[in-house]
Amino acid sequence: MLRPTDAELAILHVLWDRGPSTVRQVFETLADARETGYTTTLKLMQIMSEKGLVRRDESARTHVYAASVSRDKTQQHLVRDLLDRAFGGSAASLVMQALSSHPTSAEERREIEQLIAEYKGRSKGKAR
Amino acid sequence: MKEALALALVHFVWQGALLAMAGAVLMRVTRAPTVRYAIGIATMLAMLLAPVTTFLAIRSASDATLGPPQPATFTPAHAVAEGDLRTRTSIRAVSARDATPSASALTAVIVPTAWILNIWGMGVLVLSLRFVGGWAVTRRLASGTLIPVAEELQALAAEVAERLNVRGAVRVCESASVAVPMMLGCLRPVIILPPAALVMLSAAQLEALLAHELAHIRRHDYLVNLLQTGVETLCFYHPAVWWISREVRQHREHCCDDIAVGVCDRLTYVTALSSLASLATPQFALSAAGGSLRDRVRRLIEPTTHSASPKGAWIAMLPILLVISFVAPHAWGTQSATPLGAQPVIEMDQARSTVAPTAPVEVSVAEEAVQATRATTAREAVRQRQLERTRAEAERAVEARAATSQERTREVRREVDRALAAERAARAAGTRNAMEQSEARRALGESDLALLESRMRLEELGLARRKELADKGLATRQTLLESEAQLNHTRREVEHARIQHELATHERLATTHRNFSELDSTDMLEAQDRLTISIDGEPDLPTMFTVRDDGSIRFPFLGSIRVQGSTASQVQSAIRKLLSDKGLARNAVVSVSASRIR
Repeated sequence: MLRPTDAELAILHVLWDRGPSTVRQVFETLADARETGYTTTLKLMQIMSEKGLVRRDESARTHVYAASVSRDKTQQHLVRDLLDRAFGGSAASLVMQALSSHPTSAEERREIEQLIAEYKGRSKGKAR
Repeated sequence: MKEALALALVHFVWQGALLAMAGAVLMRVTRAPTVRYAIGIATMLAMLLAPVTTFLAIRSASDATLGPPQPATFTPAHAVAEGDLRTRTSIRAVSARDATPSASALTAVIVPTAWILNIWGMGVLVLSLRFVGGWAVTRRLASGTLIPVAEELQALAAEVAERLNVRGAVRVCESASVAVPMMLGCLRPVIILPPAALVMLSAAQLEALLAHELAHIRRHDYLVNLLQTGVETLCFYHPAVWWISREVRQHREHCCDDIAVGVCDRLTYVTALSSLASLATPQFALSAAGGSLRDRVRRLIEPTTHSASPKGAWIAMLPILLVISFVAPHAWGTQSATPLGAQPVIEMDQARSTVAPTAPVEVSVAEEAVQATRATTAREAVRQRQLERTRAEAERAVEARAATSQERTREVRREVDRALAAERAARAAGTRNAMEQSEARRALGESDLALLESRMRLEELGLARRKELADKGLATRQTLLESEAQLNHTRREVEHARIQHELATHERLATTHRNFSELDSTDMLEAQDRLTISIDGEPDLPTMFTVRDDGSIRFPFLGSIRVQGSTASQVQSAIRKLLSDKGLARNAVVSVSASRIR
């Protein structure tokens, strides 16, 4: 499940509080707290619909949006995400990883490939 | 009690430095990662035990002294610094009751207990929280979305486990939340693979990686790592602890690398590692514990040039820690903190003087060892390169010699072929000349014979006519006799010519027989071969044909027929087919025989 951004989270809160609403309703609720435009909110909700965070009901003339993820689940997910970020490093030092090193830079990778190629050449020479 | 703890923590500063130094020197002696790992673990254990022992020693020392210790003769530090060590120790022994010299030395430091304990306590608390959080994350990972891998992979893992003598059941699962293969758990170990690895790596590479993780399981590295983290938490304030911890982790990875390379091919393993490295940035942070991948790869595939020494952080650490260890007590000594034994810093001087002389000696010994190993490695590298160069030159020389001998053989063969061809051509020419001559003679003889025969016939006719006339009485007897005589003469000439002709034919046959060898029906025709072709019912066609240089013969009405490479019987059927194709004769009986100049 994707982690919602701050703005998306705000919209989700509105949807959780108000239930299924139109864009206009969401915008009006949000406009009290933030300085966003109607079109911005509309664009965001469309993106969220594509991401799968909200559902869109197109039966009426004005589309009605509803949150497709529950509040509890999202909160759980966020907390878990936070824990992972906070303690990820410490967790990493507890497990035995195959590659326990900082991510290799492109230069390092090139060097490694060169070393491997040299080794291949040497071992072919020995086999001959 | 609290003071004892604080003192123990403070003394660990120099104890830890010494232990780290000792560990580093010992590690330099050997190259095997297993031994170095063991040395590192031993050092860490010692580092854990040192403050404990100090604490207990101080506790027993303070217990021994009942009541406030009496202050001995207080002499300023600078005046007594060059004094007699033994005197000072004896002074202390006199003043304190039942206190060992070492314990008194330890207790001579004046420390701000509260500060130290607070700071240490907070550090331990923070690190413990971090540990607990990390532990929770790993637990969630182990029991979270784990999908057991395919049967074949499980079987492969089981087989490798058996080869490596890993006891107990090992689970192999895949999970989308990890970015690199990892192992966790001590009682029920599980190896988790990222889906990308299952897709990207070949079976051999997976086997190598599994071997690496199983090696961790066999060596109980997870448990040792937990204890290591414990030591890190308790002695967090000493950089030597972090340094030795990092060294231990590095060598642990090296040991498992060696085990994995023992199970599979070195190249496979190294390629597997480098493929993993090219995965996208992980969500799960990679710890900086194992050393860079490049160094690991280099160690595996360039053993001769690998530098044998652990990182020399301790060289830089040593003076700093020594400074700390004897500046701090001075600084704190001026404060009026709660002293445990109001002994001045004189005792600390004793400790310092024992520490200081030994340190430079150890440094120089270590430096010499470093230089020696570096020289040996350099010499080895040079020798290795020389060996390779000589080998390459030898190979090149062998190849060159083989090439020249081949060339010469080819030349000789070409010359021989040329000589043989010339000889055969000359012989063929000679034979052809002889053949042509006898042929000509025969032809001449034949035409002579034909001429004579026709004359004979004429004379016979003339005689018959004369006879008729003589019977009629119109010709004289004399003319009749003359014609008869003439006829007999001609008959004799004809006989002669016939015999000549026969002789010539025989001669030709003999010549042919002498100079030609019959080819049988399976021999393939070549240029300069003689073909005798006769068609039944056609006695007037030429019968002798010589295969021309372009491999064909010219047959009347049929044109050029390619005969080179065919056998006599094939030529026979070809001519028959051509005759019927051209509508000249159907089912002609053709006989072909071939002979070649000897």
